[in-house]
Amino acid sequence: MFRRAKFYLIIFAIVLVNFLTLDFLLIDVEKTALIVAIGIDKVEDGYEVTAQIAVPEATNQSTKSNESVIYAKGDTLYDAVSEIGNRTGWYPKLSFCNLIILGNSVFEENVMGVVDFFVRSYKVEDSSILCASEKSAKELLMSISPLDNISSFALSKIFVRDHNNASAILTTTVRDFSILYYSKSKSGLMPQVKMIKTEDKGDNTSSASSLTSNSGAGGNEAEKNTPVVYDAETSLLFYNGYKVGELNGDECLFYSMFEKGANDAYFSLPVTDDDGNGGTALLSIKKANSSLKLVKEEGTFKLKGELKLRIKISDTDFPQSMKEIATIGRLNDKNLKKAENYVKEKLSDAFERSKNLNCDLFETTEMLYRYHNGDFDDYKDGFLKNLTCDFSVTCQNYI
Amino acid sequence: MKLSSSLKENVKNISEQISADDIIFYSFTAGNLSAVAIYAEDLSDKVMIGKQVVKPMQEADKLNDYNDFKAVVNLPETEELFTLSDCVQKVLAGDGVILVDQIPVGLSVATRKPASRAVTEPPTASILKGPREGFVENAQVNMSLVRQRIKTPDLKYEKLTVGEISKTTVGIVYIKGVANQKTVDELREKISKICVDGVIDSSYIIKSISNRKTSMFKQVGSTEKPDIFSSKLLEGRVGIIVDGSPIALTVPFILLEDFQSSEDYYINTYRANFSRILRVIAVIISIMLPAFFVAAQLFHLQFIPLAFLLTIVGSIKGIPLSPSVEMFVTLLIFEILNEASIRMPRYVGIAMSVVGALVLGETAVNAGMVSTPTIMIIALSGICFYAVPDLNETLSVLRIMFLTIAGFMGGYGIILLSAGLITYLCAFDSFGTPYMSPYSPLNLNDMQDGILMGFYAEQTMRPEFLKSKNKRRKRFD
Amino acid sequence: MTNTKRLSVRQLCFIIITLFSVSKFYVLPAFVSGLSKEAGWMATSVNFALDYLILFACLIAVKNTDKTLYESSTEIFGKPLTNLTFILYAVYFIIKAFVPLLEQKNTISLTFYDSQPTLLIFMPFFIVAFYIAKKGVNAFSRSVEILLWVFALALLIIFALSIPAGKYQALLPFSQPPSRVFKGFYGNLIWFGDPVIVLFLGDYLTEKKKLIKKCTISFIISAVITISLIVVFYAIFDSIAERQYYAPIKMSKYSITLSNIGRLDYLGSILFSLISIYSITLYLLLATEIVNKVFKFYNNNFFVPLAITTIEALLIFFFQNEIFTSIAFVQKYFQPFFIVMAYLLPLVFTIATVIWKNKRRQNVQAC
Repeated sequence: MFRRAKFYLIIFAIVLVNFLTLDFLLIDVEKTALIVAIGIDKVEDGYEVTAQIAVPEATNQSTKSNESVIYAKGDTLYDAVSEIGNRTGWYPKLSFCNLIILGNSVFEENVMGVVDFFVRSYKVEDSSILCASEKSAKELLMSISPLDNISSFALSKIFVRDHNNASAILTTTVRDFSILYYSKSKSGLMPQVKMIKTEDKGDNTSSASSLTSNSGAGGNEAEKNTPVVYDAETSLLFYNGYKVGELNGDECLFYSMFEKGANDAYFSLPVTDDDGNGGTALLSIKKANSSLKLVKEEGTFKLKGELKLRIKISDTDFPQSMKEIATIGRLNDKNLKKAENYVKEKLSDAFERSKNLNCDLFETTEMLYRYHNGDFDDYKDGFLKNLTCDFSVTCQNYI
Repeated sequence: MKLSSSLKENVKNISEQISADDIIFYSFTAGNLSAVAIYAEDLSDKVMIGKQVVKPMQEADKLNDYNDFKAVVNLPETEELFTLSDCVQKVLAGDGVILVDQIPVGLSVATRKPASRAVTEPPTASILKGPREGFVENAQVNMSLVRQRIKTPDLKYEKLTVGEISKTTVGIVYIKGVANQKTVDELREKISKICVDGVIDSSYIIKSISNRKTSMFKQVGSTEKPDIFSSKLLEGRVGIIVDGSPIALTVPFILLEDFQSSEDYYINTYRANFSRILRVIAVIISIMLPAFFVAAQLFHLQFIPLAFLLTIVGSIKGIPLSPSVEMFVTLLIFEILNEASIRMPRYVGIAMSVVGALVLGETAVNAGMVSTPTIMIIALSGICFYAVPDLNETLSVLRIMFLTIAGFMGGYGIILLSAGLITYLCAFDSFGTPYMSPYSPLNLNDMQDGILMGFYAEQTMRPEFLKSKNKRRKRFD
Repeated sequence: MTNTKRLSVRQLCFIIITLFSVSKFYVLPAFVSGLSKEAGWMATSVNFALDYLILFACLIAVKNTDKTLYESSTEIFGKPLTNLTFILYAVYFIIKAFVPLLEQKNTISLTFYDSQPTLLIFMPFFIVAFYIAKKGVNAFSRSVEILLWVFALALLIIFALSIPAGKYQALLPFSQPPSRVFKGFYGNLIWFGDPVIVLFLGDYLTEKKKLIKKCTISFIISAVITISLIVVFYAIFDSIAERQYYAPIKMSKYSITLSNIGRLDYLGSILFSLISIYSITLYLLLATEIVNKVFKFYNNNFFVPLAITTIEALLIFFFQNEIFTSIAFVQKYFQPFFIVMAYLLPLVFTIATVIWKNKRRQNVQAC
């Protein structure tokens, strides 16, 4: 028994010695660069990666978020990421990277050349949000936002998935984008982020109400330090990994309501009330139902979509009578029809535009494969080009 | 050596064997013969010997043989003694021994009056609701506390003497027909085979009757409370009462018993269930939390939410020790504080806690020796540690083991050690009962009093793992 | 039969539910998705159906005899042939453990650790495996009873977090060419064939009441769990499922809940890793028992498990980074061997047992 106790002691001693002196490629947390966002730009001789690192001090300082941004170049993305480690002595840790920004230069080529790095790697989560920058990714990550000291945190806020319920932003992740790319449709969508400068330079407490719409890259240092907020209401369309076009805000909104998770939204529409007063009204809409079917009629396929919306007036830029205000924003038949036509038009525009760009926005080829598998081989070539759509939109008042 | 007919010779022989100042040899005349009453001054009741033994003997007309003088003694518990060693044993046990000239037989009279403290609430098992009595160091008192609760002729109390020198009384207590006779026999055999100089406390018995002598896990149940002891006997367990120890033992023992508290049966079942779940969670936290924290910091940063990770990184800046060593040292300090505060006099202990918790902890953080999360983790683990006081000894060793393996191998080490631990626990039995009962082997009936307990009315059967012949314990008609 | 070698029908059922399914959770979903695309779950269902046939045969063989497998086999086929077959089974179980071992090693090192850990971190697995194998069938089966709760918790975590993230139309169309299903079925075979284990564990059964019924239900549960996992997995990853190895850790990270409470899904994966240790060790335990039966070595409770775990450790040492090459190698060179050991021999044995029993009955009646 005593011998056994000695044996246990020896084992424990060995483990303890290892415990106290261990060095199994161990990485000290202090020497780890916790990358929270990554920006990728194509440069002449490869890729430039801009990594935003969450440094604890940054949360206590007001305007020094740029200090936590580092960049490196490499022939491939892997090279560039490794280079970050070589340059800083930090071990780049990508598992906290929740945002991947692709700079506009990346879209000159097949973006999957970049995105597949994240599909391959076990060190990056493919649940990371993928977005496009109107300018370079570096510029976007280096920007200063009044919403958060770390620009990527501010950016992430607009992509929060819950936000999707009431937003036109078509959030996509590495996984979602890759699934669509490798699907029969070979198409994809990616929100495009634009920087909007605020008037209130350097004041981090300023609210979103102090925005101005003037955009464009700043020329001097002062302009560079101008706080910005972000707009991602437009989305880029991709086919086979190549950027082919974009959807505007309203198209994104109704597409999002139709196909994605958005349930609540607002849009503006010129209306006239029963008394003949007219102006622009802000309409609040709520999705009641939607369906999309691919039907075969007389040997040709047709995309039939149905969208039912509940609608009400939230605000108008003209005075309304108390009766109208009291009826909780009811729209008259004329305005309902107008709203229906508007939504239908936007959806049809989105379909036609994407169709003309060869981008299978509504994943119809995939639908052909899934639901009409027997016809797939016969129809797959040129399927999208020959496809017509018929959207039916019904708007109803809440009460 | 047999007693002789000569009183002088017997007294001489006995006094040679126990030549101590507290052994009294009181000479008197019994009828027409000389007699001596021998007793231990502090252990025996002098008044009783005088009134019930000596006085009647002095007043007797004549005493011719053993039966004569036994007849005049006014005590129910007497015994014939034929050898010197028996006489010596009886005297040392606190009985009085009467020797009469010309009669080669001694008479022992039960006049024990050992020093004993009052029946109070044990400090290790205080409760809000329920009986507050606790066992004391006297086996007879302890047995009387049990008899108060179980008034049945089937409650058996078998006395055995253990200890070559100490000659300690060890009693096996069980309810005939309820306890498994095989367990009783096995226990009796094991206790009879114990060959030690002395049994100072019941823990000596635990170490001797355990199947796995090197195991860190308890294999014998222990309690200071007669209500718990009695309820375990009623379930079908076998109890052991050791003279001189306030801790009574029960076998077979299963791991789950440590998670059960007597109060669980006295309070609302919902609350009792909640408490039991809390105890399980507390045990897991106390063992695993420091280990997981170190493993996450060293190897698996992604396990920690980013916001918390940033707090950690912020707080460990400038700490000279690696996370594993830091945790190990802090734990070591905690264990030292714990050890010292238990051993210290109570008033110093309070001061010690203040110094330890406030001064040392706060200063260490301020001085940049250890980080705040580490102190918090150790404190949390330390608090959880006391949710199941009976498991303390095991938990402290397990905590160190898990911490060491986590620092060495990370999360996979924790997984491997858990696998080893599960197999180890599942592999062993306590007196034929699987240690992990009723979860392994699974028994739905016994699970009614498992981590989750059923309502009192539903628990109609005795635990099956105790293999009692009398399976039903209550009937609600 | 000693005290350390007891098994109840319930414990056998728990082994079927937990260990038969967990070994198929890591690489198989991605692998079968690569071969059969959306028909992966169909291919796996066919595998399960075939496995059930073997399980049924094994259960009949176990139920029909009071003797141990070794004794029955010796009686029917003679000692030399029995010894040879048993040795082959020991080899089979050692090779069978190799792929899940590599899977576990890679899961641990690629998904749990930030930097590529050294082999030293994985090697203590063999100490634990040796310990479990040394403790014998009784301790093992009792451990599985505890693991069932762990398994249930892990499943709950993984499914609760992953089911909402799936797009289940990805499983369409249901009409799939048989060749595609067969491709997946054949590729899957190295992860299947577990029912033969029942033949060996049958020796330790203390009672056989409702054996077939209970084991059938358990097998169905195991199959449903595995197929459900593959279904959810494919619904989440669709066209990129092929690349998503180590499924449990991949599929449950998309829940919104995680952003609030941290990576809870890791807990599920950790628990599955714990169960995997037992599922791998079961093969080593059986190999140990087989060698002990054939060769009555001195102190066989220590040296035999030691030797077997050492062999396995050496295999891992030499092929540590070659998981996919190793899987391809095993499939290319050992698939026929696997088919013979896992499917043909149990069938042959069952048929022989039934014939032998009938023959004996006829002889007794003739007498």
